[in-house]
Amino acid sequence: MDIRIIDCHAHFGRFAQARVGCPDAESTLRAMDAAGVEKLCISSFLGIGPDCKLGNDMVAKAVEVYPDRFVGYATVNPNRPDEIEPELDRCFEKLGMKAIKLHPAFHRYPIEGSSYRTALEYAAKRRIPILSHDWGRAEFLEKLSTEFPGVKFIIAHTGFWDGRTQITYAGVLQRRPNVFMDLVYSNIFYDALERMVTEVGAEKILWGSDFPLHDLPFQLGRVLFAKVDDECKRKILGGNMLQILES
Amino acid sequence: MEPIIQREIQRLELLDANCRLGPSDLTISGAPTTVQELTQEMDRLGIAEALVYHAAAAGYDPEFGNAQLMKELCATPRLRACWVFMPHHTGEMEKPGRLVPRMLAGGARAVRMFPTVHRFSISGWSVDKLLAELSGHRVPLFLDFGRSHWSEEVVDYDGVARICREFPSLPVVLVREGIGSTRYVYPLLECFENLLLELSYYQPSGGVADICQRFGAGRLLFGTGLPAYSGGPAISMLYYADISFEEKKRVGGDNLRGLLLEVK
Repeated sequence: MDIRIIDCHAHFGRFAQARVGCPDAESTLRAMDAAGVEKLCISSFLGIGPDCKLGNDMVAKAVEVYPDRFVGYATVNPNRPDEIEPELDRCFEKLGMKAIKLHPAFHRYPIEGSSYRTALEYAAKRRIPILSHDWGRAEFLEKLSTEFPGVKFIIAHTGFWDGRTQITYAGVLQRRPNVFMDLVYSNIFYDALERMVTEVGAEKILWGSDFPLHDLPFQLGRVLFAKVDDECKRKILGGNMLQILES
Repeated sequence: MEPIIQREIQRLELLDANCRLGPSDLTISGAPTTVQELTQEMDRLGIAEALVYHAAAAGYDPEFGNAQLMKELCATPRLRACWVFMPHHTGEMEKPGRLVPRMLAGGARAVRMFPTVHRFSISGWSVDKLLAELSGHRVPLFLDFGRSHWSEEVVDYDGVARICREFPSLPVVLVREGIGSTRYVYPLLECFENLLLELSYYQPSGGVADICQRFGAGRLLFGTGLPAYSGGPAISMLYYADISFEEKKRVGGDNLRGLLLEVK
């Protein structure tokens, strides 16, 4: 099976709440090579935590040294709204970032809050994809994705879905061509991916790992062993994310 | 990525240390809960054997569930029985001096305890009579604190340390440790040679190789968490771990086979 593996949701650096086994670019590359992962789309833990600017610098340095292997997410802190637009300008005009990562949980700021509006409007002007740890209410995401049809919206951590209920965002995913979901989650529930494919379609699902918190092969096993055909695996493991990045 | 080759997985002779039989309150339709369904899923994944406890022993009553387990496992040698225990003080379980020999006579060689779900303490005044009996027979003890996410602080690590210290002949296995556990479990692994980790949820990047290098491959047991969780991730993690084939084989099944053989 010849498949390009693109990790749509990974991180970089150390993490306050847990020991990280691969905290630098070189150890990350070794892990990617061992697992056959072509590209990692990264935001730094420093950036989604206390210091966006320094965190964005760390990501930019990794991307600069290994431009074929890392794709940079720009991060912004909604608690300092006046810094958002200048920082996004710096990230996209000077640092070579390709997408935006929002983390309402770490920044303890509601996704529907006004500060994030600045980042959303910025993304809309430049057609920049946005990955958010959380998009809040499905109605809110539907409204946003309709208002900004040029932005690709990625819902993080839908791997938390265990197959017992309906997927919260299923309707939005089905109706909106610019909304996608990533699989990142520590628990990997039995048959959940197979059910997701049935419910929303493989073309809506992106593989991600949360590396270096999570082991790449462990998270890949979710797809590699799934009872779906090779074409589905090809889309999920990288095909879909490549289209998003190339668009 | 090289394809995961079924034949290579079979060479590891995987023995799943964390497998459950029977439906739980959260089991979805189609998940393998019977002996036939479970062994079919093991065949699909390339898992040779599994150590199984019964969902009813965890979610309803240990004695009832253990009896159900023995009834359902009858004549299925690739599924090995693991009984669920609680302390005896309330009369819900036999006294350890009778319970443990009865379990061994029935063919089970491992015990799993759920201190959080079953609401009992692992302090000496609660569990030491039971643990002394298990230790005397060298029965591996799997401690399951009911972790559902890595960020939960559910494990009584001081209690685990006390058990390892007081019963150095007792193999103690922590199940479903997660990425947030490393700063707790590394010092424990360093202090207590009788402590092991089951791997169904332990997925720090490069974590398997790191533990093998620091503490030896003898401290890890492959497990999947079937049928609540998908079996593929733990297999994939072991298959691609940066350790030798011999180490993978030990973690994959030989460590647990050795522990079960040592039961007296």
